[in-house]
Amino acid sequence: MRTFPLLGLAASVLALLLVGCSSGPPVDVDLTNGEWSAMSRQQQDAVTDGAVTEREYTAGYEAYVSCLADHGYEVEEFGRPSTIYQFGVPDAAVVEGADAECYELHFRHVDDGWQLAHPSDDEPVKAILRRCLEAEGLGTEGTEAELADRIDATGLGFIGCMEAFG
Amino acid sequence: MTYTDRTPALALLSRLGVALVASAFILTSLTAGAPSGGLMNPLVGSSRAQCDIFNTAYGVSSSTSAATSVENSGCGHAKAKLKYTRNGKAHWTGWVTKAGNASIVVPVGGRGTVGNHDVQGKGDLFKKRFPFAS
Repeated sequence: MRTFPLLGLAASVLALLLVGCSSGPPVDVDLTNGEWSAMSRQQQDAVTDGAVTEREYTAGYEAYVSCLADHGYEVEEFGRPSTIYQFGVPDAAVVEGADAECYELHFRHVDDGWQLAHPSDDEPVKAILRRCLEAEGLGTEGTEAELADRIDATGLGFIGCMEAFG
Repeated sequence: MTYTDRTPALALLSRLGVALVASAFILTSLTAGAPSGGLMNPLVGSSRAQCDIFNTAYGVSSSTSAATSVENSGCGHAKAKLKYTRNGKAHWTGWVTKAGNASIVVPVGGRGTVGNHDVQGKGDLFKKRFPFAS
């Protein structure tokens, strides 16, 4: 009879070990096991609740830049004129794979989650879109996304607008 | 005396082994069908298989911005990044991400000459790199 407490303890320990060793994402996170296992613990924690905070977005960006520095690549940083960080990665980092490695590890899914929840509203881009809409006698008020949707809806051609009025 | 002490210990170990195997089997069965399991989930698998690019256009705007219009099937979002050259050195921008079929503008204001263009979507089949025609 004294063996039952021990069996229970063993089963509990095993359950904890198996759960702890699980490599897959939480059930409600739409990522594959491969994507999940390629992410840092910091990035996993950031996307687990389905929403990326300002602090998590910035931490992910900084970890990505730091990772590239560890590989010997200096990122050109242009600040944050809109909702997202703007920067430049040396071509060699892209060609040799360090950019993809660091992005997957630290930033990719945080970056996606942040941008989808906070669409860019870039003034220089909006200025181009407004000129295009104005030339057609259409309204020029709204966010970058609203202006782009208006152009798409009227069949002006988004690419044509950019080429003609940029 | 020593022999009789070992017998219950061996029996306990045997029972523990059975319990461990049973627990592992039950937990494996419970976790195998998790929706996030990628290939284990037919819905996720089919969704990703349908995610493909079928129409992409590009535009360059006076070295201030470049735009791409991306149509896709089944992708939750599309992404684009640009290669540009400044002071003789080639760099890539970060990814700009939009939901679904998207018109994506990648700002490169003042950074130099725009070179080529990388477009991706969430899905393994959706990863292509294009040079600008111009």
